[in-house]
Amino acid sequence: MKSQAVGKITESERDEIKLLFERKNGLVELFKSIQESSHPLYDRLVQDMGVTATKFQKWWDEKSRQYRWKGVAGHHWEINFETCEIFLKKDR
Amino acid sequence: MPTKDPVKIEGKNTWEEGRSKSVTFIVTEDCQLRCKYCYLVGKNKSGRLEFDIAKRAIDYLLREREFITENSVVLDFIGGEPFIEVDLIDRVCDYFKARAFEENHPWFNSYRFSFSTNGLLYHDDRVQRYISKNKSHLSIQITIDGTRAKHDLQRVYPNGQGSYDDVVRNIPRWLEQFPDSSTKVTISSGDIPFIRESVLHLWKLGIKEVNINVVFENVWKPGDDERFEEQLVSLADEIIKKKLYESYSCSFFSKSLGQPYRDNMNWCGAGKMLAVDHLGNFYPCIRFVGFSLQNRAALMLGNCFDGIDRNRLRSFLTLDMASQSPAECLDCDVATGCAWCQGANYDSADTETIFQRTTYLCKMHKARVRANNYFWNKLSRKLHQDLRAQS
Amino acid sequence: MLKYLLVVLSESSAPFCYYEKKPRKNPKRDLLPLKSLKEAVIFALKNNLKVNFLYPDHKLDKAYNALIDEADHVKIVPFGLRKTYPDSILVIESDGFPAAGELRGLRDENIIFRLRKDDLGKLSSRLNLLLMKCKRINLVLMDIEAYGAEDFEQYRRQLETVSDKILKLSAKKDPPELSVLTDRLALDRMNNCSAGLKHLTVAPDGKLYLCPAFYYGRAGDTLGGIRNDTPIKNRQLLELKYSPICRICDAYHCRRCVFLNKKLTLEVNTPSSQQCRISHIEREASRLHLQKLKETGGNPVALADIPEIAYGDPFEIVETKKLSIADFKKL
Repeated sequence: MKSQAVGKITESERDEIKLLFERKNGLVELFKSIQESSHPLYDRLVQDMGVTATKFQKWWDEKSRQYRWKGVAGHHWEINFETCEIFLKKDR
Repeated sequence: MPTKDPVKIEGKNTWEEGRSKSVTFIVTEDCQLRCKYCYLVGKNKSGRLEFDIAKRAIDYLLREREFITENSVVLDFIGGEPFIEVDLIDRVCDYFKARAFEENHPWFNSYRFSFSTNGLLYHDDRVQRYISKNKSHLSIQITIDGTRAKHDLQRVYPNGQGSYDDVVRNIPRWLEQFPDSSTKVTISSGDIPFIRESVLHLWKLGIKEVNINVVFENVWKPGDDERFEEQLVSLADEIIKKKLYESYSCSFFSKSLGQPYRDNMNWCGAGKMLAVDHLGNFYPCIRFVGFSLQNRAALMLGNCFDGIDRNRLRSFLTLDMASQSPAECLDCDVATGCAWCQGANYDSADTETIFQRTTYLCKMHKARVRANNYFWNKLSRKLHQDLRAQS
Repeated sequence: MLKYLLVVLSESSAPFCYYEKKPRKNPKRDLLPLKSLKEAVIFALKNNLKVNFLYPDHKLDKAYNALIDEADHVKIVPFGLRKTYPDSILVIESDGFPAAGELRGLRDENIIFRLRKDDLGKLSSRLNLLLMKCKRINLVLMDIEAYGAEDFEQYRRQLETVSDKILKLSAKKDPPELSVLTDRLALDRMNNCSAGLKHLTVAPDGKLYLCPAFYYGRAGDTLGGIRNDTPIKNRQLLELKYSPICRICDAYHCRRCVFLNKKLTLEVNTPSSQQCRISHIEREASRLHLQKLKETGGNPVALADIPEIAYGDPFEIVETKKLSIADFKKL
């Protein structure tokens, strides 16, 4: 099994996770630009990375409980932002 | 479970289409190539964007929240060839990220860096370092025109030598890094005989989405429309025969093409986007910059020091289809999808205006519509499903 | 269809609209050549055009006067020459406003009053003086590109004061007209300047222009020599139909100055934000003025009300009022 559709969420739920996903990526790539701990934004960035990662994981935990998505060991869920569909995918 | 559409020929929407602000930074007016159809008629080495200018432009854009209301942004880096200035681009992107984060601007949560490149420097270490640093926010389009014969007909070095081999060697790495990438093909009069084989060739190279356009300028010769139609019909036959529509897309074919006009919207997005040149001047898009124009002076909207002159934006934001089109276009039975470029219109108009639409493409559009009808009718029969647009 | 011809007799002719004239050292040398004047007059006679002659700030000699008299015409002259050319439309500049004594001789005149932005605070007091003496005042606000929020508010307040003055004078048999306040009352469609459509201009260089402003303000914008069937490229853009902002607007009295449009927005068919805001301040002042007139039971009772609107610039509603192609074709 390469990928299996396991559910669908609402557009507003999609917007929540999309924002967190984009922010998470943005923070990671900002970190690549800043790096030095002496940078004035460094502490704020590191703190934000922690907060955003927590929110991101919390969203998946809550939604998977709420919708009872199928889960399999060695697999993870992915979302198609265009269709709002959730897929179960094997870890690489 | 939603059913999957087996016909992929129309391609995907671009990221946040219609919801994002597109800002084009013209980082250099220089390019390694001298493509024969290129609208940038004044390439030079002196027009290079300085970091301080880019910085001012970004500060202005981030500051004007009440005026620039889009919650997403695409920073488009263009040239000339943008990757000639990859170090500068890297600094500009770093600055944008830091400032957007610092300001808690919505763009930090929704941005892309976009490139149209000739691909010659794609393998360069500096370019690769930049890519790995910004990978999840990049959209890179390498321009390859099709077969060697088609590509080298137009995309040549200053000494006339073709650039195909130097580009094609970078395609595998590009597709490995960005598997869903598309390319942009430009068709001028002399390219018509190569259309079919070029689209098929690009798909064979692994580029699944081919965006292909005919040039907007007045270059068309008698009979070009018929030759164009033959090529597209022949391409349609091959796509249907080999079921290529299940995996590939080509922008020549679209269900929405060839209907009478229903709405009165402008076709071009000039004015909703913004281009910034090396002096920090703002333009409605790159086609209004001096080096893109053959007959007219540049049309500026302002600059990064004084901001945008909103009076100059009013015509762009209120320009509609009817106010700029000749009666023959408004009465046309197959009007939808007929393209124009506001900058090319401005350059060719009888007076200094964006309200005069050229009709150079009329015959070419009609030829495209006939081939497009042929494709959808034939495919509908084959799949026993009516795929045609309802008129 | 052309209705009249403007003939600018000299580089020093009184500007009567939004443009500035060029300073000249010796105005007499800058007269429209007699040969060109003759051409202009013959052109007017052949095409049934009335002529508005814009007079210089000095007397003309007999040869000029004789030619001018050959056509139906109106003289537009600087205030200083009012005695030399009686029965003319007089141009008064706010920065050279006549002393009270000089105004004393006026009686039922038709005046063009050009107000500099720096004099905006004096608008009502100046107009109050002129309204007592004149039949009609055409107000031309200069420097509108420099108008900001405070100026707009100041203009609104000034018009309010002037409205009260006109209301008082309305008790008389023929109350005076003030273009920006009373024109809108009687209009049910656009009544704009219509340069290039209803009139053309012969400039001191003997060539045709859309209007004097295109001669003074935009070098190279000539339509060529005086001849029949003057080709105006993209002429349709001068028409209301081809202006997405103006065709949905009901500030019917607005000048829709194509010169200011071109200068500020780069397009003849697109008004600037300042032009629209000013015209809508005037529209609102006209609406309130009409209401008050009706309350006092005067003649205007028969006039249609001007609807109250929520915008100060029709640009704000273009998107929601966009015409369909079918409706566009019907215009």
